[in-house]
Amino acid sequence: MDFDAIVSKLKAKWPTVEAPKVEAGDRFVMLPTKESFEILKYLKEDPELYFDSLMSLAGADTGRELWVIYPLHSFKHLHKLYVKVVLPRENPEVDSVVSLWMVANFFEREAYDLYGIVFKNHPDLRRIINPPDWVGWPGRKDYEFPADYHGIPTVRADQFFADEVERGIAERELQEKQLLEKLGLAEKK
Amino acid sequence: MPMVAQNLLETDIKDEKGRVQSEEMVLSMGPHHPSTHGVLRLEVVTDGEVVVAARPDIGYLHRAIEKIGEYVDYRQFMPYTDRVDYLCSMNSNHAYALGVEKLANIKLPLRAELMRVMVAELNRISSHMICVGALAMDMGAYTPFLHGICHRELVNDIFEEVCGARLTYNYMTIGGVSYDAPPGFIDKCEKFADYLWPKMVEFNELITGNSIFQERLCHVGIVSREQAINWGLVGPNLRGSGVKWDVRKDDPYSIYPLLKFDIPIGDGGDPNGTNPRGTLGDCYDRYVVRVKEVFESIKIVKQLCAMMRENEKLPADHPDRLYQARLPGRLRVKRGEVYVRSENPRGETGYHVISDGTDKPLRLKIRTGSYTALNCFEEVTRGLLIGDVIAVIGCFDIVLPEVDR
Repeated sequence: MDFDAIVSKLKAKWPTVEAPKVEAGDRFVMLPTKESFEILKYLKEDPELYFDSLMSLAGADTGRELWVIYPLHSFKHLHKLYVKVVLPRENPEVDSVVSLWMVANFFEREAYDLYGIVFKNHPDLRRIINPPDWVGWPGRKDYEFPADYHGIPTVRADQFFADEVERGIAERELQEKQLLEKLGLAEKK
Repeated sequence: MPMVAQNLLETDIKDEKGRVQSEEMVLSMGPHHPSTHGVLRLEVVTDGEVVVAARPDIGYLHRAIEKIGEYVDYRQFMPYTDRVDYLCSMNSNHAYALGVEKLANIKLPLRAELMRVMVAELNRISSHMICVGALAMDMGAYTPFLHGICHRELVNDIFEEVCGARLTYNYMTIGGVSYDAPPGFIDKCEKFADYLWPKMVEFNELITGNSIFQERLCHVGIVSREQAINWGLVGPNLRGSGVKWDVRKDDPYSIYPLLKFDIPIGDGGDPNGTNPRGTLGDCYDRYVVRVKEVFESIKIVKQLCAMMRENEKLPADHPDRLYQARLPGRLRVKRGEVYVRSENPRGETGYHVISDGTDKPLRLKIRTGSYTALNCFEEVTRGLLIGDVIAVIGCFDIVLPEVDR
């Protein structure tokens, strides 16, 4: 099935499904958040669609809203679909798809860890890449990096040596200027 | 009877048949265990020698590569993709370049594609050498690892001439490759392919048919076809379970449609197959698929050598002779998003690239084969012996930088 056929099949059942026009890249389907689980279940179980494989699952932050992206693939019919759910930045919640595709387990934990997206009915929703006591959602655009973690400073080298770097640049510029003057190549004002 | 022993007997837990059950013990395997292939920590709950649950604890190598991607522009991100999976940097480069090129709608000259696929296939060989060698070493056979390292060294030498590095190559760029093939490159690749074929036959005689090795891997860590799809296994792990699926063939990219090669799949239990003693989808099947893939890659390298010789005959200013597409200094990428996948040694690697029309990506997400292999690790290892857990890690070919990113 090609993209348009899949979209019209979905729209017949759920009129709120959207397929916006794109400038470049893959075309995608936007699902209403409340019915996302039902639609994904339909996509997996309908014999004509039969998306038996969830290729990946990504959370994303645009600065205004959060996205959850599900690229689907069918080993039976060899077609692909790029599905997206849009969530608000405050209390983002969406139904977990672990019961449909077991592979979503770690992916959803990662999206929770980095973006704070809560997946309802997830069997074991906790941080996966960051330590369990980490504060904040590091993937988000407005995340501010903490100054220390358990007393270990996290100052970056370029911040730590900022003064020295500045002094070095000034010295270098002075040397170059003196050299040019010595050679008589300095710009005349 | 001494009092202490009496007390111990009374505290024994017995199951419904009256057999004594030992107490469950939590064993922390790693993060510095040599056979976890990196800094993987496993929380193994054991009942005697039997594994009740082995829960992976990851994140020790997290370098926020995806987040860094949001701060550097499209070309500057290329060196970071080397570090996503250091055993196959060329393939990681390729996957990322495919994503950006699809988004920016860039067409590559033929020579750039030839060079890309050539180095990608050589890197696949060298990655599989480490995998099968390290697996054999974990199973107690030290010699195959040295064989693998020895062959890999030759690939590294070729790569050193091509791009100057031996591990993190940063060879591909958006729109082509960094340097053209050095003089004598094709001859060296051809010589290496001719050398490796009999060496791999020897390797097979040494370890693949070894009865002790088979005993360790057959019937261990069985993943059925349906489970493999549902658990999101990719690449050789998926093919080991009997699913004939290869991104190079079934969702082709680059110049793979022009090349002739087979997709080896697991054939456990088949009396005429390579794995007559095992079950379909066991560790041995996953191992055999990797060894067979090396032979397929050698075939591809030989075909590419012939194609490159044809290409060299073209006049020097022919558009197919360029190793880079002509691109503006500032890459213009339209607003949009893309998910591309490419076949890496550790399976399908997917790059989500989301662009908001500026010169930096809005979001980069890397989907790797090892991450999903660890996802189902607890299910696969339930009920195995502790020694077999090592076999499962080795056969899934888990590389930790790829998991933590």
